[in-house]
Amino acid sequence: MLRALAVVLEVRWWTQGGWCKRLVHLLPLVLVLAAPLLIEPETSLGSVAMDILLKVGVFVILALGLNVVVGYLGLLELGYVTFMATGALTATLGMMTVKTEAGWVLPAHTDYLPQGEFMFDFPGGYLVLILIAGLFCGILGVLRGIPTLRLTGDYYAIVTLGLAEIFYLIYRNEAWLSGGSNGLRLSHPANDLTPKLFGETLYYDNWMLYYLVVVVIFLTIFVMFRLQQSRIGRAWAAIRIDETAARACGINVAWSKTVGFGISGFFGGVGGALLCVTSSTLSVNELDVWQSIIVLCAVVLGGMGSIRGVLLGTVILISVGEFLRQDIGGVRVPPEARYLVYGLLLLLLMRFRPQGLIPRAPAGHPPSAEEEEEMRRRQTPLYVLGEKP
Amino acid sequence: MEWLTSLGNAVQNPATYIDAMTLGSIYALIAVGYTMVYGIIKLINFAHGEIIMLGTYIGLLAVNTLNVPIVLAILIAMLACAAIGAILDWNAYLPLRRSLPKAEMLSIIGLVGGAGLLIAYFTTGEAGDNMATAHRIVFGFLAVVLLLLLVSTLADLLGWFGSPRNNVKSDRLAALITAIGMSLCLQTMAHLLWSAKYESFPTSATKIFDSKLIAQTTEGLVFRWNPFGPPLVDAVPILLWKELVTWVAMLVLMFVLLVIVQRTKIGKAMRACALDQQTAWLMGINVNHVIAFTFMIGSAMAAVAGILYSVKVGGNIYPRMGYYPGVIAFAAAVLGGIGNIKGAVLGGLIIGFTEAFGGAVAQQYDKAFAFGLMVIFILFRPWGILGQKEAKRA
Amino acid sequence: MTGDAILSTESLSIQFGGLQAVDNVNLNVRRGGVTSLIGPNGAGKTTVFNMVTGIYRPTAGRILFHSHRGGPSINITNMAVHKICRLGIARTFQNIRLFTDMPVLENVKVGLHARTSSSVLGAVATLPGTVREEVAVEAAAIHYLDFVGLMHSANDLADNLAYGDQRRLEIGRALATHPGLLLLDEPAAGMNPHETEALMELIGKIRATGITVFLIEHDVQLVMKISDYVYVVDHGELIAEGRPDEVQSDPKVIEAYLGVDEPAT
Repeated sequence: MLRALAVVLEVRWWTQGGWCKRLVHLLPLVLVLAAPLLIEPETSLGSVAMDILLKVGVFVILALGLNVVVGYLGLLELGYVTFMATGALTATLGMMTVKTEAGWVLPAHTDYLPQGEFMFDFPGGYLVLILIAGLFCGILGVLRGIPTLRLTGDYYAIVTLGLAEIFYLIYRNEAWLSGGSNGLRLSHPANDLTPKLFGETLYYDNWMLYYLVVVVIFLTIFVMFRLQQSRIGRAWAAIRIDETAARACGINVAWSKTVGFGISGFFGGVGGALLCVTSSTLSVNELDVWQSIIVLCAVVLGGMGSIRGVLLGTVILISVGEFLRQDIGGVRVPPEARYLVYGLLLLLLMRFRPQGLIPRAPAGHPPSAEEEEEMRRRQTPLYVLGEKP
Repeated sequence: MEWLTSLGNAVQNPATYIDAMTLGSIYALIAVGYTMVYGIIKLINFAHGEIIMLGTYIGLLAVNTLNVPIVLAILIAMLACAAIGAILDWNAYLPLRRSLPKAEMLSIIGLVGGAGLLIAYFTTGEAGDNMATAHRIVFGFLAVVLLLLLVSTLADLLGWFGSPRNNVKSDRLAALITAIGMSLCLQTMAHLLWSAKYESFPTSATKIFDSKLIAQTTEGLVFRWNPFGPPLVDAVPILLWKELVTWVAMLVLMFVLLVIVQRTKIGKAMRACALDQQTAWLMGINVNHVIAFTFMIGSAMAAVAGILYSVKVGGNIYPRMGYYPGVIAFAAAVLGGIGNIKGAVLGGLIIGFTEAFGGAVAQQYDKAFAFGLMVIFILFRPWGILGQKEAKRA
Repeated sequence: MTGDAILSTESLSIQFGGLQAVDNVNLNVRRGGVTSLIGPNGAGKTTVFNMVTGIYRPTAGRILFHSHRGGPSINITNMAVHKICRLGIARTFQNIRLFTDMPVLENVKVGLHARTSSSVLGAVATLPGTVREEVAVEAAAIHYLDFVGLMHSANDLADNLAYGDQRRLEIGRALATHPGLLLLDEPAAGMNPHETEALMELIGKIRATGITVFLIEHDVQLVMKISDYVYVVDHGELIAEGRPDEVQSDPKVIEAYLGVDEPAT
């Protein structure tokens, strides 16, 4: 049973190996939790660091979500930005929804907000919105995924790209929905729309938002570990390696893939809902296809299908990219330079280390000799040979 | 039923057809590059859009600095893009197809060094003095880097570093990600070099192209066969020279291409590689050279398309200009049947008509119609109009 | 004979483009024992397997599966591949198709997929039922590995196994789906005599559990030794059937298979 617990909680990182290895694995956790002691958001440097931290945090969630399709299912997804944009829009519009005498009103314009009571202005309302955004995008992921079930390789990539462009055009042109090129402003002078959690405003200089993101990251990592180790994770791995053989082993490929698309979309939506809070304006114009490529780049850099790899890849890629954006010590690197760095990274990685920085581990937990012996003695109804009764 | 009215207007207006034909011809020229590369190495060359952009910039540079007529600029851009196509294949995709040769180190130094220098060059520090010297030094270095890339490509093509080995280690996912990376790199380099502002060919250079061939005057339709003559004023243009030039250019180039593919030795080698690369190697064909040649032809076509495109819309030269025409032309290639040159022409024209008439119905959504058509085709008829369904074999 | 069949095909045919790969084949695989399908290269044997397991759709004909004795016969002609597997038909592939970068044990666990039911939500929420099932899956996988004799390499990657062991693993994975009918596509191909001997032993063991084995094989010695009944196909058509000794002396078979196209093995 202890082994089952170890499988479930994935505590081996912190219990196995020498003290040095354990320390390396514990260090990020300590750093993440102790960040408030190290950073002062009031100072200019601190606010920059805070900004980078939050961006990295949100992209970690997005990258882990994308990793379900790219890493576990082995499909090159180029339209992930659709979920980011949809999640961000859902959360923002939800926050802006107002009850007037005429009933519930969605904000038609950014410069005019009807007076009244906000729909999600109750304690924990923002959490509900995150969940709604996630579920909505999960459903979107399933609906978008079903027609693409038969596609693999380049055709999957190009179809997701085409659909993402269509969604992008819709969001950009339908100003009643997204505010068009002006975007939707959250911190409105007349009505303070910045979301609150337990009475604290969620803003980038505020630790409440930081811890919210941290908690969501931990939940995401936990969910991903559980999925990887479970029945569906094995099915995904089988489909990725050999779809026909997976079918012949009784795996319902269509269903398993659909579940994967849904989960991936869910985390895309959650990430999007968090993304819209880190800046005061939501502008769908900025959420173009290249955003999906940045997330993809993070997944590829870290290692497709490897959770630790994706974490590392995102931290490196996004922090370097954000760092290049900042004006540090009076030296200004052109902001476009980071795309050059991203592109070069993709090129060199594919040439020298296509498996990423931390390659995926073989599926499952290798049982030790004693565990094997124990299992051999165990009776299980699943072990049957012969004709079905 | 507002959209029905606008569609009706578009159907009655000859300008829509002319626009659709022109767009379609441009897409066909781009789609050929996709379709040939895909036919041989089964790769969506995402960087093809960037070749369009580079070709257009090179044409613009030729017109602006050398003062050449635009037709000559097109030729220069074609040659330059053919070289870029070969460099692209050699530096990005070839290493994925076989193990690391000596010459490749040059290309790696070139890529990384070039990117680093480019970033360093545009990084502004507190000490803004002496930048002129720095400019010269960095440009010198960049020239060396480009030379390095070119030499390493040539060295490989000529076999200076030993004969290429036939080593199949290509992973299609890796190649696709490489293509995306290359696209990002080229786009950003252009951004750094020429900035993001929109540019256009000077009107003096495109005057002939912009002159009217058929126009509507008060006396009826007027044909002007001499583009050098005095301009027609007070006439509503029906057909411009540039539109006719685009159609003719497309038809002539496609004819030449078909002759190359069907009648020449290298064309035969290309068809052999498309069928089975392994066997082609065994028959003594250097597949890597054939692939490089394919990239060169496709890239030259892309250069023509890029310049004609920017002449058509009058401007629109900026680092991301290649993205939309690139992806939409891929749609055209799929539509016609990927790997099929005639299919690329057919698909290009269909996509051109879709976009023109779709744009007449909903201006902002013209691209969405093209994307929608592509998605529908990939889902239901991935082998395209002229392609043949492969017999399913496990 | 038909009454006792576990699998029967009725005028099964398939065309690829203009090629008639399998033409009007009627098979009756009897319950229990080992039935073999032999024929020269390209005769359409694997195509028959692919149709039975749902990978190809036949252009004409029916396939009936009688999953248990006295039960109804189920028409599986156009059924999805995974559904056919869940009914109780498992297979191995001619060119081994293992999940290469998975450990051996995990490969067998994939075979248990269809017989477990824990949901995604159960996995995420770590419900006790899911954890119990996970432990049971592991125990069962180890038992299956034990059965095919691969316990010693449970933690190796499937790709790193010796050729003969990869074949055994594929059989183990197929057994884990709990089949009533096991289709083996050239299990002895590329094996040395020693490995073939061990394989025959394994097939004997499987047969003893009551699983019906349906076999494609080129190794005539092996086929004659272990089969109860043999079908011979050539050019997509059934040319002979009967007990091994009957088939062996059939002039048509000798002409089409043994006489003209003597296999190197």
